[in-house]
Amino acid sequence: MSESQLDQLLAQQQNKQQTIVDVDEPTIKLVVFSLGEYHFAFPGAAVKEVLSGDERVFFVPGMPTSVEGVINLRGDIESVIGLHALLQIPSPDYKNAIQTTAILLAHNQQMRSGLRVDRLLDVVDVTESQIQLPPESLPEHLQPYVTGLLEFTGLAVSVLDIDAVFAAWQKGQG
Amino acid sequence: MSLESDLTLPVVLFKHQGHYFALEAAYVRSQGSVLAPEDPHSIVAFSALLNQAAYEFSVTEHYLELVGPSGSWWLGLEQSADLVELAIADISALPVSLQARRQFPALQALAWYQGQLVSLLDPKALQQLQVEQR
Repeated sequence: MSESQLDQLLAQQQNKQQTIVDVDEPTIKLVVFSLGEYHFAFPGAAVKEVLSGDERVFFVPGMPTSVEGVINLRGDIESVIGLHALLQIPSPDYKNAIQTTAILLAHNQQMRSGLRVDRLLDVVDVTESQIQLPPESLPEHLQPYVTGLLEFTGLAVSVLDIDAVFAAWQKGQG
Repeated sequence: MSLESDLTLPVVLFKHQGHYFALEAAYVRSQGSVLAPEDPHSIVAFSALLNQAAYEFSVTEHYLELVGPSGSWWLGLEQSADLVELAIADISALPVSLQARRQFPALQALAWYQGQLVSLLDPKALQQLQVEQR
Protein backbone atom coordinates (compact mmCIF):
# COMPACT_ATOMS: atom_id res chain seq x y z
CA MET A 1 0.00 0.00 0.00
CA SER A 2 1.37 3.40 -0.96
CA GLU A 3 2.05 6.12 1.56
CA SER A 4 -0.81 8.46 2.42
CA GLN A 5 -0.46 12.16 1.72
CA LEU A 6 -0.07 12.68 5.45
CA ASP A 7 2.80 10.20 5.53
CA GLN A 8 4.48 11.99 2.66
CA LEU A 9 3.94 15.34 4.33
CA LEU A 10 5.40 14.14 7.58
CA ALA A 11 8.36 12.61 5.74
CA GLN A 12 9.03 15.88 3.97
CA GLN A 13 8.90 17.76 7.24
CA GLN A 14 11.30 15.25 8.75
CA ASN A 15 13.72 15.78 5.86
CA LYS A 16 13.47 19.55 6.24
CA GLN A 17 14.25 19.33 9.93
CA GLN A 18 17.30 17.26 9.15
CA THR A 19 18.62 19.91 6.79
CA ILE A 20 18.00 22.83 9.13
CA VAL A 21 21.33 24.37 10.07
CA ASP A 22 22.39 25.34 13.53
CA VAL A 23 20.81 28.78 13.92
CA ASP A 24 23.36 29.78 16.49
CA GLU A 25 26.15 29.52 13.99
CA PRO A 26 27.16 32.91 12.61
CA THR A 27 25.93 33.60 9.11
CA ILE A 28 27.22 35.90 6.44
CA LYS A 29 25.35 37.48 3.57
CA LEU A 30 26.94 36.99 0.17
CA VAL A 31 26.21 38.61 -3.16
CA VAL A 32 26.89 35.86 -5.68
CA PHE A 33 27.62 36.68 -9.31
CA SER A 34 29.33 35.41 -12.40
CA LEU A 35 32.13 36.85 -14.49
CA GLY A 36 32.54 34.85 -17.65
CA GLU A 37 32.52 31.18 -16.71
CA TYR A 38 33.61 31.89 -13.15
CA HIS A 39 31.52 32.48 -10.05
CA PHE A 40 32.37 34.92 -7.31
CA ALA A 41 30.80 36.54 -4.27
CA PHE A 42 31.34 39.64 -2.21
CA PRO A 43 30.26 39.83 1.41
CA GLY A 44 26.96 41.69 1.59
CA ALA A 45 28.52 44.33 3.82
CA ALA A 46 30.71 45.37 0.88
CA VAL A 47 27.79 45.86 -1.49
CA LYS A 48 25.69 48.90 -0.78
CA GLU A 49 23.24 48.42 -3.62
CA VAL A 50 22.61 46.28 -6.69
CA LEU A 51 21.76 48.31 -9.79
CA SER A 52 20.26 47.24 -13.05
CA GLY A 53 22.74 46.45 -15.79
CA ASP A 54 21.01 48.81 -18.19
CA GLU A 55 21.81 51.96 -16.18
CA ARG A 56 23.11 54.56 -18.61
CA VAL A 57 26.88 54.72 -18.29
CA PHE A 58 28.67 57.86 -19.45
CA PHE A 59 32.14 57.40 -20.90
CA VAL A 60 34.93 59.32 -19.15
CA PRO A 61 37.84 60.18 -21.45
CA GLY A 62 41.39 59.62 -20.27
CA MET A 63 40.74 56.48 -18.26
CA PRO A 64 42.03 52.90 -18.64
CA THR A 65 39.81 50.51 -20.58
CA SER A 66 38.66 48.80 -17.38
CA VAL A 67 36.80 52.01 -16.49
CA GLU A 68 33.45 51.77 -18.19
CA GLY A 69 32.45 55.27 -17.13
CA VAL A 70 30.18 56.89 -14.58
CA ILE A 71 26.50 56.78 -13.76
CA ASN A 72 24.22 59.42 -12.32
CA LEU A 73 22.87 57.77 -9.20
CA ARG A 74 20.24 60.05 -7.75
CA GLY A 75 22.43 63.06 -8.48
CA ASP A 76 25.68 61.49 -7.31
CA ILE A 77 28.42 60.44 -9.69
CA GLU A 78 29.52 56.83 -9.27
CA SER A 79 32.22 55.14 -11.32
CA VAL A 80 31.58 51.83 -13.05
CA ILE A 81 34.57 49.56 -13.47
CA GLY A 82 35.07 46.04 -14.74
CA LEU A 83 36.94 43.36 -12.82
CA HIS A 84 37.66 41.12 -15.78
CA ALA A 85 41.16 42.48 -16.35
CA LEU A 86 42.07 42.39 -12.65
CA LEU A 87 40.86 38.80 -12.30
CA GLN A 88 42.23 37.87 -15.74
CA ILE A 89 38.89 36.80 -17.17
CA PRO A 90 38.08 37.45 -20.85
CA SER A 91 35.77 40.46 -21.22
CA PRO A 92 32.38 39.76 -22.76
CA ASP A 93 30.70 41.85 -25.41
CA TYR A 94 28.28 43.79 -23.21
CA LYS A 95 26.47 45.27 -26.19
CA ASN A 96 24.95 41.85 -26.73
CA ALA A 97 24.50 40.92 -23.10
CA ILE A 98 23.61 44.12 -21.25
CA GLN A 99 20.21 42.74 -20.20
CA THR A 100 21.74 40.05 -18.05
CA THR A 101 24.40 42.16 -16.36
CA ALA A 102 24.20 44.03 -13.10
CA ILE A 103 26.18 46.75 -11.37
CA LEU A 104 27.17 46.14 -7.77
CA LEU A 105 27.74 49.40 -5.91
CA ALA A 106 30.62 48.26 -3.72
CA HIS A 107 32.50 50.17 -1.07
CA ASN A 108 35.16 49.99 1.58
CA GLN A 109 36.72 52.67 3.73
CA GLN A 110 38.92 53.97 0.92
CA MET A 111 36.69 54.10 -2.12
CA ARG A 112 33.36 53.26 -3.67
CA SER A 113 32.54 52.14 -7.18
CA GLY A 114 30.05 50.32 -9.29
CA LEU A 115 31.36 46.93 -10.40
CA ARG A 116 29.96 45.49 -13.61
CA VAL A 117 29.23 41.78 -13.29
CA ASP A 118 28.04 39.49 -16.06
CA ARG A 119 25.15 38.08 -14.07
CA LEU A 120 23.83 38.48 -10.54
CA LEU A 121 23.06 34.96 -9.33
CA ASP A 122 21.69 35.46 -5.84
CA VAL A 123 21.99 37.17 -2.50
CA VAL A 124 22.23 34.43 0.12
CA ASP A 125 22.85 33.93 3.81
CA VAL A 126 25.33 31.16 4.49
CA THR A 127 26.91 29.90 7.67
CA GLU A 128 30.57 30.65 8.09
CA SER A 129 31.32 26.94 8.16
CA GLN A 130 30.01 26.65 4.60
CA ILE A 131 32.88 28.82 3.42
CA GLN A 132 36.03 26.76 3.03
CA LEU A 133 39.57 28.01 2.82
CA PRO A 134 40.75 28.62 -0.74
CA PRO A 135 42.34 25.49 -2.20
CA GLU A 136 46.05 25.45 -2.96
CA SER A 137 45.13 24.78 -6.56
CA LEU A 138 43.56 28.24 -6.85
CA PRO A 139 45.18 30.10 -9.78
CA GLU A 140 48.00 32.33 -8.59
CA HIS A 141 46.46 35.50 -10.01
CA LEU A 142 43.32 34.98 -7.91
CA GLN A 143 45.08 34.19 -4.65
CA PRO A 144 45.43 37.81 -3.45
CA TYR A 145 41.69 38.38 -3.75
CA VAL A 146 39.98 35.12 -2.75
CA THR A 147 39.34 34.57 0.94
CA GLY A 148 37.23 31.45 0.70
CA LEU A 149 35.40 28.94 -1.42
CA LEU A 150 31.72 28.13 -1.26
CA GLU A 151 29.61 25.52 -2.95
CA PHE A 152 26.42 27.17 -4.12
CA THR A 153 23.81 25.18 -6.05
CA GLY A 154 26.55 22.97 -7.39
CA LEU A 155 28.79 25.86 -8.38
CA ALA A 156 32.19 26.62 -6.94
CA VAL A 157 32.03 30.23 -5.79
CA SER A 158 35.13 32.17 -4.83
CA VAL A 159 34.53 34.73 -2.09
CA LEU A 160 36.39 37.95 -2.85
CA ASP A 161 37.95 40.44 -0.46
CA ILE A 162 36.76 43.93 -1.44
CA ASP A 163 39.73 45.57 0.32
CA ALA A 164 42.21 43.53 -1.71
CA VAL A 165 40.30 44.16 -4.94
CA PHE A 166 40.11 47.92 -4.42
CA ALA A 167 43.71 48.17 -3.19
CA ALA A 168 44.93 46.42 -6.34
CA TRP A 169 42.74 48.65 -8.46
CA GLN A 170 44.15 51.81 -6.87
CA LYS A 171 47.67 50.53 -7.45
CA GLY A 172 46.95 50.37 -11.15
CA GLN A 173 46.23 46.67 -11.58
CA GLY A 174 43.40 45.64 -13.85
CA MET B 1 21.38 84.62 0.34
CA SER B 2 21.62 82.07 -2.45
CA LEU B 3 21.11 78.38 -2.09
CA GLU B 4 23.76 76.12 -3.59
CA SER B 5 21.32 75.08 -6.28
CA ASP B 6 21.14 78.70 -7.44
CA LEU B 7 24.91 79.16 -7.67
CA THR B 8 26.62 78.65 -10.99
CA LEU B 9 30.14 78.47 -12.35
CA PRO B 10 30.80 80.11 -15.73
CA VAL B 11 32.70 77.69 -17.95
CA VAL B 12 33.74 77.48 -21.57
CA LEU B 13 32.26 74.27 -22.93
CA PHE B 14 33.56 72.44 -25.98
CA LYS B 15 32.98 69.11 -27.63
CA HIS B 16 35.78 66.76 -28.64
CA GLN B 17 35.14 63.42 -30.35
CA GLY B 18 31.59 63.38 -29.03
CA HIS B 19 32.50 64.15 -25.42
CA TYR B 20 32.01 67.41 -23.54
CA PHE B 21 34.85 69.21 -21.81
CA ALA B 22 34.91 72.54 -20.01
CA LEU B 23 37.37 75.05 -18.62
CA GLU B 24 36.60 77.64 -16.00
CA ALA B 25 35.80 80.80 -17.96
CA ALA B 26 38.15 82.92 -15.85
CA TYR B 27 41.08 81.16 -17.57
CA VAL B 28 39.84 81.76 -21.12
CA ARG B 29 40.74 85.11 -22.68
CA SER B 30 39.29 84.71 -26.14
CA GLN B 31 38.14 82.35 -28.86
CA GLY B 32 39.08 82.45 -32.53
CA SER B 33 39.32 80.64 -35.83
CA VAL B 34 42.55 79.06 -36.98
CA LEU B 35 41.93 80.58 -40.41
CA ALA B 36 43.45 83.77 -39.09
CA PRO B 37 45.59 82.90 -36.08
CA GLU B 38 48.07 85.29 -34.59
CA ASP B 39 50.65 82.51 -34.54
CA PRO B 40 49.43 79.27 -36.11
CA HIS B 41 52.47 77.31 -34.89
CA SER B 42 51.69 78.02 -31.27
CA ILE B 43 48.32 76.25 -31.29
CA VAL B 44 48.36 72.92 -29.47
CA ALA B 45 45.55 70.55 -30.43
CA PHE B 46 43.47 69.40 -27.49
CA SER B 47 43.58 65.85 -28.82
CA ALA B 48 47.39 65.90 -28.58
CA LEU B 49 47.12 66.74 -24.88
CA LEU B 50 44.32 64.30 -24.17
CA ASN B 51 46.07 61.43 -25.87
CA GLN B 52 49.55 62.69 -24.99
CA ALA B 53 50.77 62.15 -28.52
CA ALA B 54 52.84 64.87 -30.14
CA TYR B 55 51.70 64.01 -33.65
CA GLU B 56 48.10 63.16 -32.88
CA PHE B 57 46.04 63.90 -35.98
CA SER B 58 43.19 66.24 -35.31
CA VAL B 59 41.15 68.83 -37.15
CA THR B 60 41.58 72.08 -35.24
CA GLU B 61 39.46 74.79 -36.76
CA HIS B 62 39.07 76.84 -33.61
CA TYR B 63 41.20 77.86 -30.72
CA LEU B 64 40.87 79.16 -27.20
CA GLU B 65 43.37 81.65 -25.86
CA LEU B 66 44.07 80.53 -22.31
CA VAL B 67 45.81 82.40 -19.54
CA GLY B 68 47.99 80.57 -17.06
CA PRO B 69 51.03 80.91 -14.82
CA SER B 70 53.36 80.74 -17.82
CA GLY B 71 51.44 83.32 -19.84
CA SER B 72 48.97 82.92 -22.68
CA TRP B 73 48.76 79.91 -24.92
CA TRP B 74 46.40 78.58 -27.59
CA LEU B 75 44.38 75.39 -27.40
CA GLY B 76 43.16 73.99 -30.73
CA LEU B 77 39.61 72.62 -30.86
CA GLU B 78 37.52 70.70 -33.39
CA GLN B 79 34.51 72.97 -32.92
CA SER B 80 33.76 76.37 -31.49
CA ALA B 81 33.17 76.61 -27.75
CA ASP B 82 30.28 78.06 -25.77
CA LEU B 83 30.15 80.04 -22.58
CA VAL B 84 27.68 78.34 -20.24
CA GLU B 85 26.79 78.37 -16.57
CA LEU B 86 27.15 75.07 -14.69
CA ALA B 87 25.07 74.69 -11.56
CA ILE B 88 27.40 74.19 -8.59
CA ALA B 89 25.12 71.38 -7.42
CA ASP B 90 25.82 69.53 -10.67
CA ILE B 91 29.61 69.58 -10.21
CA SER B 92 31.36 66.71 -8.44
CA ALA B 93 34.98 66.01 -7.61
CA LEU B 94 36.42 63.12 -9.55
CA PRO B 95 35.54 59.95 -7.59
CA VAL B 96 38.49 58.48 -5.66
CA SER B 97 38.26 55.37 -7.83
CA LEU B 98 38.93 57.45 -10.94
CA GLN B 99 41.47 59.83 -9.41
CA ALA B 100 43.67 56.82 -8.75
CA ARG B 101 43.62 55.70 -12.37
CA ARG B 102 43.25 58.79 -14.54
CA GLN B 103 45.63 58.86 -17.47
CA PHE B 104 44.81 62.47 -18.33
CA PRO B 105 46.22 64.58 -15.46
CA ALA B 106 44.17 67.63 -16.43
CA LEU B 107 40.89 65.88 -15.64
CA GLN B 108 39.81 67.54 -12.42
CA ALA B 109 36.07 67.08 -11.90
CA LEU B 110 32.85 65.94 -13.54
CA ALA B 111 29.58 67.76 -14.03
CA TRP B 112 26.14 67.30 -15.54
CA TYR B 113 24.94 69.76 -18.13
CA GLN B 114 21.67 69.26 -19.97
CA GLY B 115 21.76 65.54 -19.26
CA GLN B 116 25.30 65.12 -20.55
CA LEU B 117 28.51 64.39 -18.69
CA VAL B 118 31.10 67.16 -18.80
CA SER B 119 34.76 66.63 -17.95
CA LEU B 120 36.04 69.71 -16.14
CA LEU B 121 39.68 70.45 -16.83
CA ASP B 122 42.35 71.99 -14.63
CA PRO B 123 43.83 74.85 -16.72
CA LYS B 124 47.17 74.73 -14.89
CA ALA B 125 47.58 70.99 -15.46
CA LEU B 126 46.55 71.45 -19.07
CA GLN B 127 49.18 74.15 -19.55
CA GLN B 128 51.79 71.90 -17.96
CA LEU B 129 50.90 69.18 -20.47
CA GLN B 130 51.24 71.74 -23.25
CA VAL B 131 54.70 72.73 -22.00
CA GLU B 132 55.75 69.06 -21.83
CA GLN B 133 54.38 68.50 -25.31
CA ARG B 134 56.68 71.09 -26.87
